[in-house]
Amino acid sequence: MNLTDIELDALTEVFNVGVGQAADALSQLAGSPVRLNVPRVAMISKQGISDELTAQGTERICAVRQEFSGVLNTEAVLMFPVQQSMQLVQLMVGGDVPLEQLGEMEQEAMAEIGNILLNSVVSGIADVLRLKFEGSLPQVEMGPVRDVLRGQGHLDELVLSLQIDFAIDALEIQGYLVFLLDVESVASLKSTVRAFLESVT
Amino acid sequence: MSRTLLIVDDSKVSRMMIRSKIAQLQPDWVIQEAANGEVAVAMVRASPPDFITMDVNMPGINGFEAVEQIRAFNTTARIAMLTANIQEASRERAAELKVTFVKKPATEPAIREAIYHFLAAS
Repeated sequence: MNLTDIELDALTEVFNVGVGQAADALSQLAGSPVRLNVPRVAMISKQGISDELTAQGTERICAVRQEFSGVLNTEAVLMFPVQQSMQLVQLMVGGDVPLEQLGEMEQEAMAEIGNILLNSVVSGIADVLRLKFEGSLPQVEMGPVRDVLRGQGHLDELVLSLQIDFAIDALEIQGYLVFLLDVESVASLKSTVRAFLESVT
Repeated sequence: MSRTLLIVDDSKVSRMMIRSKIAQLQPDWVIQEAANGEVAVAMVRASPPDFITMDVNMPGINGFEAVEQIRAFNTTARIAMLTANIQEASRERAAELKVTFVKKPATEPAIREAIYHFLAAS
């Protein structure tokens, strides 16, 4: 199941709208502008995504994972290099909290950041495509990129990946947002995107 | 009176969406398209349009940089940033550049907002 160029383009554009909303939410949380890179949509293996991130120097990550189900199922993962997630948490709770306590709060705070950002992206996509999604509770995981991405599946499994890198330059924080769709969901997505294209052009 | 509009967006679908809404709402406007900021700057230099819709997140120079370059030699084209990057920082940058800011997706209300800005100012 492959998407045509125009379908990929439409999907990237819809993803872009969702990411824009998430970046707005994150910039409010961080009190600082978020620089967005250009999103990428591609059929790729989880191993391929892991290799790309590792090549950028990101070995261990703190990730928030959430599953969204509906006409199509997607696994959304928000990732930060491990050392930077703590900095983000500090931003959210304020600078006065001692480091020991911050560690305890880290999981909870990351889950909340993930919840806000991933839901902003999904809501943006759902609104444009007129879909409905149910989200699972966010789960926080820490470890090497490939272990986190593997999830319940296999690393060589091909998925449709919607991916964007972003950075909060003032705080030297960078992060990655990846939405993964399994092959069965790509078929539903294709018909949804085609209907969308017909409605707008 | 026939007006010219330049649509700048790296997404073909986004350009198609904007074009189809403009064609409905302002059927006599002449529409041109550019797929990135560099091409847009060159097109404005060669033949200045009345109005421009400008995306922000594009490969190469971004939409704000393109507007800066355009403003160095053209002060008459009315420009609307049409973008999903809705952060306060983007809105502020648009205000600094004295261009209007319209939130994507390019639905009919969004396009009407851009047209309103173009015509109110001209």
